[in-house]
Amino acid sequence: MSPSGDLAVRGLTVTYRRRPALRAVTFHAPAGSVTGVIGPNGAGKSTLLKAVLGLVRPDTGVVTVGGRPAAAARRRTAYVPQRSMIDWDYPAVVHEVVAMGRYPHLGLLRPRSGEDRRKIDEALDRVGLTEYASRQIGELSGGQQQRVFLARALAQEASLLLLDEPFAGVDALTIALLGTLLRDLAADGACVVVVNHDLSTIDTLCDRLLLLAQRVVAAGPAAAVLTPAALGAAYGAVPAQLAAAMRQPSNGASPRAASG
Amino acid sequence: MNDLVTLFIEPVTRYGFMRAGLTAALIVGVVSAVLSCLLVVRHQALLGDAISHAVLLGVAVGYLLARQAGIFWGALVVAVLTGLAITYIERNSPVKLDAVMGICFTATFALGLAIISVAKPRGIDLFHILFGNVLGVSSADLWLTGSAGAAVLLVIVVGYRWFHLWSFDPLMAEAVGLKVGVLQYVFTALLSATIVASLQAVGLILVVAMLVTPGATALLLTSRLRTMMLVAAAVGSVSAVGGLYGSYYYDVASGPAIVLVATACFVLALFCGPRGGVVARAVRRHRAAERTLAEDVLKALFSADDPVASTPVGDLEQRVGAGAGRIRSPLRSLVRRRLVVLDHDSAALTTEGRREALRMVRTHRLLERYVHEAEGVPLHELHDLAEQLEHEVDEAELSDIDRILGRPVTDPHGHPIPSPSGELAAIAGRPLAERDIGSQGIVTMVGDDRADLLAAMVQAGILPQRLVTVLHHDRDGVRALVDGREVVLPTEVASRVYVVDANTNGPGVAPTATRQVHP
Repeated sequence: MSPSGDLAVRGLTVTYRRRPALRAVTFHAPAGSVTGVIGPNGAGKSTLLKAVLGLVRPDTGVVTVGGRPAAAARRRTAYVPQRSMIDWDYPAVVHEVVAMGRYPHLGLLRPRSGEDRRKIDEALDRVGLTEYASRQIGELSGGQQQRVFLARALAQEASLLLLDEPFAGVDALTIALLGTLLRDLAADGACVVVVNHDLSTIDTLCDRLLLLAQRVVAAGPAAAVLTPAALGAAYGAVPAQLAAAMRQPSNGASPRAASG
Repeated sequence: MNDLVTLFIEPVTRYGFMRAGLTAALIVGVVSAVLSCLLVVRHQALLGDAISHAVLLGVAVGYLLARQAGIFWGALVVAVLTGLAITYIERNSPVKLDAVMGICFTATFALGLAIISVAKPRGIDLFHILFGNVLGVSSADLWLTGSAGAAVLLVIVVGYRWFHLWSFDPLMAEAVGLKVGVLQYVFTALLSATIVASLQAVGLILVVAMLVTPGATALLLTSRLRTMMLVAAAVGSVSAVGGLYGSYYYDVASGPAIVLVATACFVLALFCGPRGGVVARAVRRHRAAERTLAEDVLKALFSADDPVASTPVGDLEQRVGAGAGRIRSPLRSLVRRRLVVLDHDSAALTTEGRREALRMVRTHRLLERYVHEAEGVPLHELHDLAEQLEHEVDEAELSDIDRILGRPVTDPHGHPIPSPSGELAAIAGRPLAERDIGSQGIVTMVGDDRADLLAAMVQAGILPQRLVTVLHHDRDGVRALVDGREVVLPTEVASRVYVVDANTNGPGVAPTATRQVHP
C-alpha cells in the first residue's frame, strides 16, 4: 500500500519580486479525485503548483501530502511540465524518459532491478506507447509527448500528480484519452491536480475545481464553482466560452442535474 | 603499412615529447567532449567560453605569486571562482545568464591582460597560453592534467543520473528533492577544472571549441545522452590525435590543429549524419518517393471483389497517375518482394501482395476516420488528405491511432476497415439507385471516389446511418426522402450510396431518425 497523496494547503501566501502571487490559499484535494485548478492569467495557478512542489518558498503557509510535510512525499510526487518547458531536441528516447521516473527511488548508484524494468514497461503499456519505446521524443505528436510524461509519473508510482496545462495543443481525441488515464489513476487512489486554461473541457474531466484569482474564489464540485457569481469575481466577467458551455452542458449532464 | 608505422608510430616511440603530448591531448579531448554534451543539451555552450577567458587572470596572478608552479593553481582557483560567481549572479539577480557571462569574462580577461601588460612576466608566453603548446607538455603538467581529467570523469559517471535528470527536466529534478543549485555549482567546478587542464593542449581561446564541437557533432548522430557522450569522446579523441600529428608534421600550433579536425568532424556529421544530415535527407526523400509509388501500385492492383484480377501495365500507369516508365522500378521491386507477379505485361497481386494492399486500405481508412474525428476535416476532403498521410505513418503510429479511435470498423464514409490480420468485411446493402420505390433503409456507405459527388451527398444530407426512403425513379436519377426532407439525386450519386433495409439493422447500425413508416 503506497502512502496517500491527499493534498492539503493551508494559508499559503507567496510573493514574487515583491508582488503577491498567492494570498492565504487554503484548499484540500482528496486522494482518489481529479482536481482542476482554473483562473485567469496571473491568477497564481503555476505558482501554486510550484509551491506544492517546493520550487518556490512560501512566505507563510503549510503544504501537507498524506498528512505529512510535502518535502517528505517528494519521491512520490510527480510533475508533468508544460510541453513548452521541454527541449524536444534533447537526445532522449521514450523509454529513457519513462525510466527517469525510477530515479527518485533508485538514487545515484543502485542498479535497475527486474522490478524497476517491469514498472517502466507497464507504464509504457498503460499509455499505449510500448511500440514507441526507442523513438526520439521529438519525433512524437503532441499528445504522445504528453503521454510519455504521464508514463514517467506512472513509473514513479506517484501518489500525487501535478500537471501543468496538459491539454494545451493536443487534439480532442487525445484529451479524452488523457482524461481517461487521469480518471483511472484517481480511481487507483492517486491525488491528481490539473492546472488548466481551457474551461470548456474541465467540468467533465474533474471531480472538483479550485477557482483562483490570487486567493481562492471558489472550491468544490464543478457545479458549485462554475457559477456566474464566482466566475465574475475571478475573471471580472463570465468568459464567453464558459457562458456557452453553461447553456449547453456536454456529456449528457442536463442543466437541471447540474444545478440540482 | 610500413608508411603508416613511420607516419604515426615512429614519432611517438622516438620522442618523449610526442608521447606526453599525445597523452595530454587525448585526456583533454575525451574529458572536454563528455562535458560538452551537457553544455550543448543545457544550451550553455558559452559558459565554457566565459570561464576560459577568466583563466588568463588566474595565470597572471598565479605566476606573480609563485612563478611556473603557480600558473596551474592560480588558473584553477580563478576559473572556479568565476564559474561560481556567474552561477551565483544568475540565480540571484534578474540579469540573465548571457549578460552575466558577458560581463564576467570580459572583466576577468581585461584584468588579466592589464596585469600581464604592466608586470610583463617573462615566464608567460601569451601565445602559448591563448593557443596551446601541446608538444611542450612536461611530465608534471601531464600528472595534473591526468588527475584533473580523471576526477571530472569520475564525478560525471557517479552522478550520471542526476546530471541526466537535471539537464533534461530541471523542474522534476528539483521537485523530487535534488539540490539543483549544488549541482550547478559542481558542474561549474568540473568545467573550470577541465578548462585549466586543457590549457597546455589547446590554449584557453580554443578550449571553447572542444567544449562545444564534439557535443554538437554527437547530437547530430545519436538520440541518447549516454551514446552522445561516447560518440563525443570519440570525436574528441580523433581530433586530439589528428591535431597533434598535424601540429607535428606541418608546424601548425596544436590548438588550432585540434580544433580544425573537430570542426571537420562536425561538418561531416552535418552533411552525412542520420539526424538532419543533408545526404541522409536526400536518400530518405528518394526512398520515400519510391515507396509511395510502390504503395500506390499495390492499391491500384487491389480489387475488393476479385482477388486474382490482373491489370495491364499501361492501365496501371494511368491509374497511379505516374509518367510513362515511372512505375517500372517500383514494379520490379514489388516483384522481387513477391507481392506482384508480372505475366505478359499484365500485373496481378500475389496472396502476400493482397495482404499488403489490404494493409494500405486499412491505413487509408483509419486515417480518414482519424482526421475526421480528431481534426474535424469534412467528408469530401478526407480522401486526398489520407492519400498523402498514408505513406508517412508506420505500424506503431497506426496501432496508436486505432487505439485512440476505439478500434472502429468503418471509415467515415462507411467503408469497412480491414482488420489487422487483413480480413475485409463486405459493404452491407445495395446501391440506392437499385432499390424499390417505397423501400426504406439506412445508409451504410457513401462512395468517396469523386469529391464533387461526395460534397453533393453531404449537402443533400446523405450520410452513413441516415434514414432514406425511395420515392421515385426516373432517367435522371432518384427522388428520395432523407430524414424527412425530399431530395433529388442524379444516378451517378444514387449508384454510389449503399443502403440496407431499415428492419434488418446490422450490429452497431442504428437509424438516427425515429419515425417509423410502414412500407
